[in-house]
Amino acid sequence: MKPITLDDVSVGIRELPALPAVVLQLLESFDNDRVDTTELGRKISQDQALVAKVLRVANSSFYGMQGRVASMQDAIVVLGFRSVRTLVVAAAVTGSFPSTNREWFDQQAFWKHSLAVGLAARTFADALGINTDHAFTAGLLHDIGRQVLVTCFPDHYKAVVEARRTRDCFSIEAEQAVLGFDHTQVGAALAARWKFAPAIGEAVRLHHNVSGKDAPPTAALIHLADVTAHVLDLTGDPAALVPSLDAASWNRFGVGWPEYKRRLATIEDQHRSASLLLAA
Amino acid sequence: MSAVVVPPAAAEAGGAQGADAAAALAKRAGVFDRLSHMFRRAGSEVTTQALFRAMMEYHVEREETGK
Repeated sequence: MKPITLDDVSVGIRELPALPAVVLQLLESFDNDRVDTTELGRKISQDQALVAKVLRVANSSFYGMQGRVASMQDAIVVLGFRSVRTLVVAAAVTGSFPSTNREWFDQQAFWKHSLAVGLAARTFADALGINTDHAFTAGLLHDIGRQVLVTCFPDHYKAVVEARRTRDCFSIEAEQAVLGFDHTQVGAALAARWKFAPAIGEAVRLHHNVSGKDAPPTAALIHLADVTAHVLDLTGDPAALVPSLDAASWNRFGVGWPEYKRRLATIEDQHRSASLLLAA
Repeated sequence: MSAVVVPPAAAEAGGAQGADAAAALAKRAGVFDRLSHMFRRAGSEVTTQALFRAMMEYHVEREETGK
């Protein structure tokens, strides 16, 4: 098998489908409080696949609105624009890669973990003074480089998965050993291509490298959220490995273990509903 | 990984309460085993060990409150 380089990956990323235009507009609206929600709602409504996924979650038990949210405008009124915006971005990102049916890569488990990290990041964001929409999106995308590699270079990533299993090591270690680079670099390249905010790309690139007080706050948040999602064991992966929790990142969070545990229950409840986005 | 097996005689001797306590103990041992397995490469740094304890408590509390 011919080795691949980051340049090859850049070519692969350029060949991936772009995010829907309305999703790019939603991303641009993260820092804009004066958004025309009616107009954005109308644009979202034109993408029936997105609408169906968002309504499925909006009508789940988590929101207590079973069967009563019938349209995107209903969803905006009942759940609020910010919640709908988050759901639409999540539905678009998780639906932007072709479904794969590879026995060596569990795509559902991948997205379940990504959603869990997004939800955990959103739940912890306030304590770190970080925009909750940026936090969710950074969490959702934190491992997106893996999905890029599985989609564009399946044979190479299969070798990574096999190395991880044989060595019982973390995925990032297997990637560096087999490929010479890792998913954080690939994910950051995709985040730039998809025009996500710089803080999101930075968090994707650095979430495995947060030691020290100078790490960007969003990267420290995603590290904490990633560890949390692993430790909640929401995918039941028999080979699951919890990374070491960086002490500086934990100290930045600044709340004690009782408050942390209280927030875990919220994350688990939200994850049950949000996972409905992944149903076909 | 170890599993806690409750001998039927012990459960009977303690009645329903004894069986409940034994089941709770077994559940706790199961959580401990799973967490130990997941933390096998996490190292022994103080914050990580505190996380392990917090997760142990979290699962036990969730079990006790039936959530």
